[in-house]
Amino acid sequence: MKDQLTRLTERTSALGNYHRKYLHIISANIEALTSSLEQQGMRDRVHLWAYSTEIPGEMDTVLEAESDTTQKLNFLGCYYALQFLHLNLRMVDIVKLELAAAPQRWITGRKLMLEAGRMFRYLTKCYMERLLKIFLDNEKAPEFVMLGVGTRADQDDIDLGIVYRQSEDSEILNRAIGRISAEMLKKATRLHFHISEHVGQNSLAATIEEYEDILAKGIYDFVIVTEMLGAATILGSYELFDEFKVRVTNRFFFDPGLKENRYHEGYLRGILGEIRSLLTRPKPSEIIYPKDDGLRPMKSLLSALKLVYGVDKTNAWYIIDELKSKNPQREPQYNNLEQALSFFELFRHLYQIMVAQDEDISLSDPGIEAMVARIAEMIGFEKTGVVSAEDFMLVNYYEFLDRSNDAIEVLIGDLRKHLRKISVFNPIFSGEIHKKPGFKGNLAIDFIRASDFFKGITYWDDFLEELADRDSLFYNEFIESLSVLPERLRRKVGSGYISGAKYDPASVLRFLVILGERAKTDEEKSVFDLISCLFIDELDLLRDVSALLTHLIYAYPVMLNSFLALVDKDCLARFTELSRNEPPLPELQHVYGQLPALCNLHLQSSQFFKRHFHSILNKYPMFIKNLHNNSKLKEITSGFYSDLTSLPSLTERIEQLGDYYDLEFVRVSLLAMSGAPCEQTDAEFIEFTDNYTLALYELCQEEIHLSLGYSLYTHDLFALYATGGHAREQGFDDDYDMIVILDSSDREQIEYCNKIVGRMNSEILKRGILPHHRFADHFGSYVISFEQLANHLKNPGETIFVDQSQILSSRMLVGSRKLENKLQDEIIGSLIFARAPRYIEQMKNELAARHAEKDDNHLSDIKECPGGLRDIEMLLLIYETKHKVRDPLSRKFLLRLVEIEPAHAREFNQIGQHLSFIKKLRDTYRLKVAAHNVIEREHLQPVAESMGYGDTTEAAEKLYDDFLKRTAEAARVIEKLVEGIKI
Amino acid sequence: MAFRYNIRLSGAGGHGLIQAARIIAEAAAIYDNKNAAESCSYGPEARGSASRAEIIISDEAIDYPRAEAIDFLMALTQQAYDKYIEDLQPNGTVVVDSHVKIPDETKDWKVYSIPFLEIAERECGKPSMVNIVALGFFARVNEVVDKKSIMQAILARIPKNSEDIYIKAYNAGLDAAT
Repeated sequence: MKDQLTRLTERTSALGNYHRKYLHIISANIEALTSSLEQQGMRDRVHLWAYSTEIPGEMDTVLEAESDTTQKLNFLGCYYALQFLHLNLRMVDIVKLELAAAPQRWITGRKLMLEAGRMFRYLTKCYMERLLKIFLDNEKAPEFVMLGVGTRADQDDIDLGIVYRQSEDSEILNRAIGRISAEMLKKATRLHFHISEHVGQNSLAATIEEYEDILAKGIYDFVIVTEMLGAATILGSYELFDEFKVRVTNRFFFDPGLKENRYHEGYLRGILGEIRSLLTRPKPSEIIYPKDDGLRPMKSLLSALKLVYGVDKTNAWYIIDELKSKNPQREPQYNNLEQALSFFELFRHLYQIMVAQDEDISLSDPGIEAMVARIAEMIGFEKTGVVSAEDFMLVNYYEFLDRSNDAIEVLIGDLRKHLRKISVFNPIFSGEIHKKPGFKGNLAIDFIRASDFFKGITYWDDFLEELADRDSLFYNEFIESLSVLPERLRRKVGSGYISGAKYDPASVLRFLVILGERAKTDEEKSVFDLISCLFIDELDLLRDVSALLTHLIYAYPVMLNSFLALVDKDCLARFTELSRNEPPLPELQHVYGQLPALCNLHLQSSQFFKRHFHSILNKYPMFIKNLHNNSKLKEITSGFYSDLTSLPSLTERIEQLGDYYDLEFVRVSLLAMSGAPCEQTDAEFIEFTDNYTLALYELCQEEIHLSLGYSLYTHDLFALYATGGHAREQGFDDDYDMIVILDSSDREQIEYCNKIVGRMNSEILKRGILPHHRFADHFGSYVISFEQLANHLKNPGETIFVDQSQILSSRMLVGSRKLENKLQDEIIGSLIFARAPRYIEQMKNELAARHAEKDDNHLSDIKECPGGLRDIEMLLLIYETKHKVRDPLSRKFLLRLVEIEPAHAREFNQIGQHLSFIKKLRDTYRLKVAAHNVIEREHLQPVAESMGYGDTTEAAEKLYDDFLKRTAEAARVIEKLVEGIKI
Repeated sequence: MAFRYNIRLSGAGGHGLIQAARIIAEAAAIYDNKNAAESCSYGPEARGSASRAEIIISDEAIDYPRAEAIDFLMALTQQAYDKYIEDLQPNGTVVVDSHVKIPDETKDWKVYSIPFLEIAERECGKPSMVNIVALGFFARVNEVVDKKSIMQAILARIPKNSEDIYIKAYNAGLDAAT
């Protein structure tokens, strides 16, 4: 038959590994304890192998069984360990029994958790009382009270605050507490003295006077205050605790009779900032944190609300009960909090008993996943079909999280209103302070002085709202008050506004963005520049700047992006340098890595790129989070395009289509800037612009149909062609050349189509792209008839080759295949290819004449220089005409030419390589420097980096030299090829 | 004279140093039957990246569990090293992650520079195991707490069914010291 210890060990094996510590203590002492109890005839007075309801009496019996102090401690520790295990095993049994069929788990969860807390606190209290007696050893200790300041059921540690009355015997108490702490670390649950560690002078306990002194200096640590406010007596003097409340904690409760509620306000500001910080902190995926996700925000909020409504309870459930009666209009929110609290507390408690005392639960770890599944079943979730019990529980987890966050949002709104009503800053915001007779203050300085008491506090939304309010004079007064100060004082006062960056960088950032966005005059801009610069100085001094920046990029990407767009280039460069620090944790690299990517984009991108970039980032912050993950961006943009038809109105569809264009433009630009080959980026660019144009045509056609109330049948008669860069499959043009042809001279049909194209133009313009309609000037209409076009090209003028080239290089985007065939036969075949000698002659002459009288500066023009894009385009048009083929003027056509004229394969391949290089340089230059055709060597460094040359000035020089060499070489090859063309 | 050894573990939040400190304290107190005390800070400054935990091990009762003059400092980040190095006693031991830059002049300290983060990633595929690798190293270079006791304390703290990876990380730390 198994002995009792073996049975207990087997039963305990179902619990988490940390119970081994207690088994170790039991194994080491149980034999001696049992033997002593038996020898003293007391064995039947103590429950060793079962849960006891007579703990104090049984502990005393255990102590009576031995006279040696060391052995007494061993026996007491052994008894504690036994009862601790029985307590947890019993909890598991009760949970299984009560929750398996409970219709409303959270009601039972609340009951169970209150009971678990009560029993654990009772066991530890009894144990600590006896330890204290042993360690005091009849010496007289000063009056003291030991306060529990944490979650009662939390078994990882017991958070304690100890208050004592100063006397000559203080050392006796401190020594005893130190020994209790060491003994409990060895045999029971460790103690944690957070409050006293921060308040007491070299002591684990602190006097009321020490608490008062520290609070007189200001509210600097609201975590300590929260613990003080949640304190409940474990043992010691109740009178001293009452005095502690009167002299220390009561000041935090709202008193409507007072003119100022400074401590109350400070605490509310601290706790509001803390909740925001918890709700916005970066979280690795696949890990859940019941404590930080749900419990801490809820409990922090309850701690604040109890001060507003004068609730004198410390347990979260009891606070909620009383808030429901004192603030009944928010009962639905309190009900949600109550349910979520019960769920999260129970889940966390069971996880800690069954698995480990960690706060973070990694769901991707197979071992932990299995244990979480077991907890789910214990709580009463069942596998249904393919959905596991664990998945059901996680769905509940997130539902409770959503519900509690919704409730928190509403209740925080109430706290904000309360704060605005009672704030000590109200006279400053309202300007009332300035109206006082003889006032000689300065608003910017007054605010800093008034806020000194609240140092380290992280909630300043009211100040920021006042500053941002365009109907308020506060902003103007603020700027003026700073501007009138002498420079040195202005810097000093400015520093005061950014000194909270280490506690609350988000508020400082928001402050700067408001200043930057409102700055119109030189005076305003100079204030913004100064404080931005001071902010970066401050960041530079912080040890944990990377953690702070990670938080900003994770929670406030849009605000950070706005700040980066507003600061001057020097500040931007310094900020970028800061972003190159190591991430705070390797697992946060995926968040932190977004920061240098964003900074570099601001630092090293052209206005041409930024125009698109800024237009979308404020609307779609998820884009910022994926700047370095192009395939994820592609998924997002594809989703936008596919989702168009599901939108209810045409207006929404057109708007979303525009967003699709902008998002894709940025995505493909990022790809190009990262060094992707231009063949890839051109193909992707053309794909999305073609998608955009086709969808835009259909939506605009539908809109015109609806606005006119009728539609005209034009499908077989209509064609929209891209020409210029878009037709050549070249990305990143800032104009959009089009030709729209209608195979009809009917005025009504032409007008109808003009309306569609006009509507398209206005949408294309919103993308920052200029639509150019070839022939529109000539014919006075966007849409030209086939007949008009044919007649125009029959004209044998000296410059007709220009228009012929437009048609020859065009590519149909929308329209009828029938019309395309007609264009191919009747215009391209009959009016261009049939006149090939004349066309080629004119093109050759143009090629020769274009560079005749140009200076050396012309050599830097990537489009127009000898061997530049224009020359290559003209060469390809000549070959298209020569061989009577019509292809996009790209490298693909050069490959085709290699097959058609193998004798010139070498030259065509050379041109192909030069074309790729020139296009890559052109694209990167447009995106990183400026959308100019003239390449300026002094700005080439960021381009050289993208193109794999390196990021030095020497690399930039080498790139420029290569550009000159390649265009010169291309010009030589073009000249040779053109000379050889015989018709 | 009474033996007292002060240890400070420091790094970033998420390195698991508070857990490591608890393991050392429990190993010393429960399995080595020494006196131990452990403390850490949960103030607002610890909500960001700074993380610090202290352990005192003594053969006498510890009346006040605050480490002042440090005998053993572990710093896994540059910030932690810069902030806490001045508290290290002469003849003390400093252990840093190898990315931490330490000056050429290091008084008469024993200095170890070990790629803990890299080892955790390479051997366990989990950067979060850095604290266990560091514990392995601590156990090997330090005789204040028995190696087996540390292993026992680790096993008593970790989730069930995850023993293998913790043992691997611990052994990787032990090996890093050879």
